[in-house]
Amino acid sequence: MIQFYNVTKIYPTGVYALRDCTAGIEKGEFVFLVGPSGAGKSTFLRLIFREELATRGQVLVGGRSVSRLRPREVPLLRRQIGVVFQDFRLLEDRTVYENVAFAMQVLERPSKEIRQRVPRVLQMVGLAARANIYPQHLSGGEQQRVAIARAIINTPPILVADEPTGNLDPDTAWDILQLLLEINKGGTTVIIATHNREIVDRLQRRVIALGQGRILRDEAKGVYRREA
Amino acid sequence: MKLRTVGYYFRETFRSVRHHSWMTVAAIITVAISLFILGIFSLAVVNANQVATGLVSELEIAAFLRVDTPPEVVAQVGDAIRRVPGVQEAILVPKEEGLQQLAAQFGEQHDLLQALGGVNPLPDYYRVKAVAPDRVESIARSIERINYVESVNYGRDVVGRLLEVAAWVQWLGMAAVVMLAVAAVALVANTIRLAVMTRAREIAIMKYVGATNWFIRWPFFLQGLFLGLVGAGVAVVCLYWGYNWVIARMQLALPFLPLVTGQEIVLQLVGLLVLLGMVVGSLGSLISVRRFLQV
Ligand SMILES: Nc1ncnc2c1ncn2[C@@H]1O[C@H](COP(=O)(O)OP(=O)(O)OP(=O)(O)O)[C@@H](O)[C@H]1O
Ligand SMILES: [Mg+2]
Repeated sequence: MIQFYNVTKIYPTGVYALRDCTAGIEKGEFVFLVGPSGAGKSTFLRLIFREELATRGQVLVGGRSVSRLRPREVPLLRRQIGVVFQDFRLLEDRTVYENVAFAMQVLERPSKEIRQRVPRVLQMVGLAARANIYPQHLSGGEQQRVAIARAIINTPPILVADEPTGNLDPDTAWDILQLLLEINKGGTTVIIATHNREIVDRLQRRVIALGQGRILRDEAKGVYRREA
Repeated sequence: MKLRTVGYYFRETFRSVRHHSWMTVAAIITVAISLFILGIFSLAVVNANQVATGLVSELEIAAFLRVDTPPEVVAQVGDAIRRVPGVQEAILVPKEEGLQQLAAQFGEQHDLLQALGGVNPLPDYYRVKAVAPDRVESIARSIERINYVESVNYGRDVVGRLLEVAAWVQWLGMAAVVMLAVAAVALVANTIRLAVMTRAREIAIMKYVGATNWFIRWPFFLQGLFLGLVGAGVAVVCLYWGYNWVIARMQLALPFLPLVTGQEIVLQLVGLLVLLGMVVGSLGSLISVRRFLQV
């Protein structure tokens, strides 16, 4: 589903964010991307939904090279990928409901379908009672859920989440993880960049460990850190 | 584009226009002023041309014969003139008639002939009419070469100068219009850039969610179109009133000038101005959205 072939990413500032990374993620997988701050986790995710382009090497999504897409094909790629941003990127002047419905409007879905689906997904992320509230009146965990609801509203085959448990208390973080596992059970490929050692160690899922832009480990039932 | 999205586009457009009402007004005024000035120049050119051609078509050529032309040759010269291509008719005005006309201008109390010592100093001349105004000049030149024709006279200078002025007005107008159009496009672009900038975050999110560029562009495109159209509307209304007002006064002061009257000409201009307004508006909006779509 997603392939990295010798991918190197150098930012215009000259920083090597990724160096010669090669990895493959299959359909339906649940993958943790771990590593210290600055290791290149966010960059790895950005290359998938084409917020950034690889400096060298190829990123393939669904068998297509992301860098070789024609401009009109980029929206089609992004419709395949739900993104939960590290900073949520919610619209402040729209309610929870509107923020989620927005992602469907943008794809020109019929309003009847929007009216039916948005409440169901809000229910799923546990925000049914918060539908008409503006994001700034929500807790961090609730905003996180809105971001997740928006990312999955169009049922994309791939879900990418950057630090979805950052700044959350352990219980809330665990709730969010349960939600992502739930989504993964439905067949969605889920890729999570995280610092949360407890969760990674507890779930024993695939782990890709990055350090200074290199893939240090890639293990099917991994943990956050392999002690030497 | 799907039909159900059209409502969304219009709502977004309206939201943006309301949110930036002052910039919107400024952009509309700029567009209106530019188109208004374009309209003024167009009207000036149309009228100058009309007046010029009006003068030319009433134009006759006067072919004066030499004073010593023998009476029997006069008719032959007339035939020669009539053979010049493009001549419709040539009427002889004998020197006696010319003197009478001159006398009439001086007033009846004078006996002009007597004052001139009994000798009529005037030549015979032919009043020549051309079949078409643009033939006048070439006809005049041909007649000049006929024997016994002393000189040829027609309103070359007046008409030539008028047409020259019309051409100048046309060039000046075009230059002014191009400059103003650029200014108008820039202001529309600026207004829309402001609208786009306040929504840059939203646009970026739209792009990451998978919106197509045109989905994002349409509301801004409509906003530009709206600015252009309203600007054109204001310009047309001002032109119509202004022109009718001027024409009414001109016709009192200079009733003989064959000016083009309001209704017809302004109606013809409406199409041009509205089209230009739309081009200016949409161009402005496309320019300003471009940069923000590079996500
Ligand atoms: N837009 C950018 N321009 C320049 N350099 C960048 C940019 N984004 C990231 N970097 C640099 O690239 C490197 C990797 O950054 P990245 O955000 O991928 O790390 P990360 O693993 O996500 O870190 P964190 O855990 O703190 O989110 C860092 O050194 C960072 O400073
Ligand atoms: Mg990061």
